[in-house]
Amino acid sequence: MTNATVTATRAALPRRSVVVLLAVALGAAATAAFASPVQVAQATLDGARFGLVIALSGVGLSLIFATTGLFNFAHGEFVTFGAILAWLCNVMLGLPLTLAAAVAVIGGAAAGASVEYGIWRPLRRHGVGLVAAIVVSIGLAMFTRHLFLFFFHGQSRSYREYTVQQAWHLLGVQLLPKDLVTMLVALAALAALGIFLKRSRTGQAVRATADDPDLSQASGIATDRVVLLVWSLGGALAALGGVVLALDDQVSWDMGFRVLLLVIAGVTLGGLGTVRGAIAGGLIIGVVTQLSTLWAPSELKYVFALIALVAILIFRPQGIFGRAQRIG
Amino acid sequence: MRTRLSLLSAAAAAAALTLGACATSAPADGGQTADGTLKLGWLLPQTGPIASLGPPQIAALELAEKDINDAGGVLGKKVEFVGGDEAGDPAVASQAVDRLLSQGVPAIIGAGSSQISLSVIGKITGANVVQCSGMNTSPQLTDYPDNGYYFRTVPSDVLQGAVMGNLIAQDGATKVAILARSDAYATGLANTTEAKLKELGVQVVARVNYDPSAQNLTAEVRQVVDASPDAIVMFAFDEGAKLLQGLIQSGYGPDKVKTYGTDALPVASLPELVDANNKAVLQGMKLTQASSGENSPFTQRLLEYQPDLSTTAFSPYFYDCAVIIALAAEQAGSTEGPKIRDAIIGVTRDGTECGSFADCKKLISEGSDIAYVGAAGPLRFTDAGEPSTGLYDILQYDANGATKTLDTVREGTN
Repeated sequence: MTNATVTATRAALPRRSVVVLLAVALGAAATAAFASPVQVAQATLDGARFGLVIALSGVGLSLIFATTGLFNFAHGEFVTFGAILAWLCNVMLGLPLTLAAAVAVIGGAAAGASVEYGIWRPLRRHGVGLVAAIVVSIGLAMFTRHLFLFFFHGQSRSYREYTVQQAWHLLGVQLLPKDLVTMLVALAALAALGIFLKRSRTGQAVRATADDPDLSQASGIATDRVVLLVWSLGGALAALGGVVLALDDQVSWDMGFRVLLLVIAGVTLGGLGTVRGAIAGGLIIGVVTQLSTLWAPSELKYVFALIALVAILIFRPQGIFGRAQRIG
Repeated sequence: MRTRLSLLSAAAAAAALTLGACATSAPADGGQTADGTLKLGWLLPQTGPIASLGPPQIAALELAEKDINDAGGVLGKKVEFVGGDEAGDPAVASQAVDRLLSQGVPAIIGAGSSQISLSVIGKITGANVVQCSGMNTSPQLTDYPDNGYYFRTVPSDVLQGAVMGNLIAQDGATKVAILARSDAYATGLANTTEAKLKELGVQVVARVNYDPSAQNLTAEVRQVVDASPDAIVMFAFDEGAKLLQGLIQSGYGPDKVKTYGTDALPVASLPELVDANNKAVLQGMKLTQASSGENSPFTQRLLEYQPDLSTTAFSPYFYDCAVIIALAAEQAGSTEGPKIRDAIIGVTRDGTECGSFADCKKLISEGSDIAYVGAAGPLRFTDAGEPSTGLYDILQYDANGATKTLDTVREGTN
């Protein structure tokens, strides 16, 4: 990447953020023709919460793709794993949910590191192609999911705490304390990740590896360790995503699988390999999904999210914040 | 060598299976044996997840056997039951059905679970053998291509919609919101409920069908809340807990508006699934379910006959299965499957009402058309071979998270 493009990309970034916000506002305004402003505000807020959870769950998927080229279809299982681990600690062991969430995040990181160490690294060493690796990830997803089904059973369950909360009301818009916490936690984690990638030396190594693995390795970056780190980070964040997702939507054996398509859509339309892209993509998917229910049957809500994906990719094949150089 | 041996035994097994299949497809002799008894089969849960319901159902069939034989049997032949275990496992159930069919039974009573019935219905009805269940409530079985051989004495879940509509209207609701999973069960029920409510002049202010595979149901809850209903009815499985949490948090919980559901919800664990810290969370919420027919004169008689039963759930329906099969054979003058099939619907409707095998048999011998009123009440089969009327329990959650039966109502055309 030349200096000129770096400057150009930097300059373009805030403008694109404005475009995303404008698009969301425009969508909300268009929906306002069908619904009251309160309904629109409520749907936007609900969508933002869901969108941030999607971003949190998906950012790892996006970074793993950027550094290894692998599209990890088993990423939803990190989400489920986090939620189930938190549920076990919270309900079975009686830990407070905050502590249970910490255990889940550590567990998610460990799970991410172990699949990289035990499966993906050996596969890379043996020169397994990307398509074969994607098939392996699909198989791994099915295997893990059904393992969850076997041990956790098919029933959806709630945590011991924060299951039913009193909502705050502001000008007719409702906000649950747990949803506010969800949004703040997601934003904080994503911001921390962004700063880490931008500012720290290790973060720079991650970005360098994403840019050109061979060149990075040649210039002395331990790319294997970088990839291991990315997997642990991805696993940890997805597990955290699962923990907060289950606050509203309960813990179930296939919860990660159910959001996987939305997660993939979110990170893809936001631009793979970027934290901003994950946030923007997640928000668009979340808000479009919720807004569409104000004027279309709710059975179709995810259809609109996927229409948004296609529409945006037609104009920006690399996603909103993605870099064109990586594609083609 | 080892491989060859296992190959040999596999071949032997295959041969045995083929022979078994031949025996099965050999023309049925109507279950008659040389000593003049009529063999009927049952496929009921002796093991598996609903094994606790097996003993009362089997006891009900024994009682039916006794009643029929005391009244002189069917066409002069004594009735005798042979049984198989459905085991909650389609593979085991299928083997049990093979065994029953190989004995040439003209009818099999069972299975208990709709799922198991669906897994063996092709095999049973394909062999021109009558199948009758007293516990299958799945709407899927109504239109199943069974060549007219499948019957049930318990009504389909779809009839519940009318019960629900009546209940909501009686409770004085004026603006009802309906939440339904997008599947055959829930949308069917929601449609009948909505139609009943409209017929009774109750306004349906929101009808939300949701994608069963959606993880997040916030928008669906908001749609209901935005319609500010005074009654909410949900046709949901275990995602009902999630919906209830959302409704409670939006100020539309069972403590604020009338809330209704069906027994497709995980009834016993629902309060805990919604809020483990508050057993009273669902207090006041009402549920409808097909009545299991307990606490009736029949079940009292059954308990006298076999006092050690822990439950009598669904036993009257199974008793009725046995009696209508026997009556149909009597009416048709034949114990062959196809003849029984053709006569069953007729013995349940449009005729002189009679309440026991003995009475009905007498009427048949006098040449009368009969309408058997069973242990669980009138059946009045539809052309699809299931009751057009049924008993329903209305349950309500109390402050301890338990349900108690408020009422048992009869629903259906009169």
